[in-house]
Amino acid sequence: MQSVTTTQVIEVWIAVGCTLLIYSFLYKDNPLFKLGEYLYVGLTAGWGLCTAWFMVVWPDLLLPLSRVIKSYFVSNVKLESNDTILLVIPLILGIFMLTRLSAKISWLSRYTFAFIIGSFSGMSIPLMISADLFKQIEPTLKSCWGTDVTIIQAINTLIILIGVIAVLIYFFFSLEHKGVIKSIARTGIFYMMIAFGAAFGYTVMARESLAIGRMTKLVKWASADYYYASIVLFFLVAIIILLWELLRKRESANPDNQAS
Amino acid sequence: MTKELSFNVTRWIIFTLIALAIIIPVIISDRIPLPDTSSKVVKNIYDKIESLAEGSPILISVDFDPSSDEELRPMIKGLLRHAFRKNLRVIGMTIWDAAAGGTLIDIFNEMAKENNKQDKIDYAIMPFKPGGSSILMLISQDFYQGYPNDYKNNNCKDLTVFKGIKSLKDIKFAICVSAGQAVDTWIIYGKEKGKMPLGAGCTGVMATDYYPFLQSGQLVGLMGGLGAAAQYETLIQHKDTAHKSMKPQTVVHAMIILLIIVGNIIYFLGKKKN
Repeated sequence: MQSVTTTQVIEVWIAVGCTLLIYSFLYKDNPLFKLGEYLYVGLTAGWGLCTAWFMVVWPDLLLPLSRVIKSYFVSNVKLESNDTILLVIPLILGIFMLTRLSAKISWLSRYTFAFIIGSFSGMSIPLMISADLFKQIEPTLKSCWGTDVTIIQAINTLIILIGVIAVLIYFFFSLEHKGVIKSIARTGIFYMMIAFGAAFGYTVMARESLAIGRMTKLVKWASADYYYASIVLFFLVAIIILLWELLRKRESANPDNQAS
Repeated sequence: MTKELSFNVTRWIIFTLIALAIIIPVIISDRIPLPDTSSKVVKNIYDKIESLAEGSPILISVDFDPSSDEELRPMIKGLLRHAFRKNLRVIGMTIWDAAAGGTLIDIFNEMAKENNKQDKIDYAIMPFKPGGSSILMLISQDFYQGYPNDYKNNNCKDLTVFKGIKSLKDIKFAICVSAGQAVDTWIIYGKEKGKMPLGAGCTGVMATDYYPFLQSGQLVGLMGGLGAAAQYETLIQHKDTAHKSMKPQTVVHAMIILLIIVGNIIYFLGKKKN
């Protein structure tokens, strides 16, 4: 049998507890679910902050900048390749973002936004047009015949071509959907229904996968190695919800509460 | 009140049936058969890795957090097992902050230990850097501008695993396994600038979004959801968690189809009665 350390047991009890807190929503919205929800939000925010500080702000900004500043005063400071005084610019722009907390000086943050939007647009627009538009048009306009094109490939190309045209016409509102246009638009609807069906099927599969993964672990953690964590905590959660329900019912039955 | 009660009872029956359809197959999973098949889009990724020469550098971008772990971890594990078995050099990175700690480092170290591979020689893990698109554009020009050090603060240029790598263009195959927009970022910025062959792995929810990129050749192959991870495990002949999880999945699918049919029959019978 695989030996389980005390730390692993504690981790498992926390994991099972949090899973059951969230799953308690299947019964209805309750204080235990709220506790799980708040824990998740708090931990995620804390994780994000720590990651930003320990992996980005400190090693990539403050530490190199401190080395550069120190090098002006002390002669034997070893600078690394990316250490530059220009790091002051992102530092100032970053501080400007924090000025949004004060109404009086929040206008300073607009400079940072302007920088981000401007640089990002400049970088992204050509690449997006190339990757999402030109490269997508290419396979749509592929030849359906030729020595190197098989029958299956030709049929695939035709299906794609008809689909693209039909869906585009469905969303073309300058012409009334009558006659031929109506038939083409209806073909577009069929294409979209197939796409939605495929997306929905995949979504169901994805959600099931998550549930199966959790259940597999809950079954594993219900063993004696983990001190029956899943079973004990399941009953604990059930008892707390039952008590909460009883308390609620008693409160609603109390005439004083009803009057207030 | 009666309608509300009926809705609640129906809801509970469905929950119970789904729970049973998951728990029972999880317990008796060994007795449920599963066919050993793989789709072309998954096999393309396998074939790409299989075609690489020993020692070729590949890059795996781990862009998901623990909430998608059940679906995507088996994919990364399968890819790493395959790459390490082929003695490829693997660089791990992420453009998703939530994957920066446990997920990326944990999977790489686990698989390296399993395959007797050494950090800095056979594989390296990059620290998280913000601004996904910017970092991809940067490493497509000069890898060491984006990542001067690995996550243990070793100088990347000094590591054996980076021998011969100047930018993304020197990577023989990159694959992004993501639960969000990271695959799009890789297609638009990584692939466009780096020009290296790119594969993708994603959650089932997103899989249909990326099929057009296969047709255009922007993606070599695609792994969508747990099913694809199970197929990859079959291809590398190492059946693990994805394969086990697909057995309950099959039972739940059958249950859902049955519930849809029963629901429709009840609906039409009720309509006729009215």
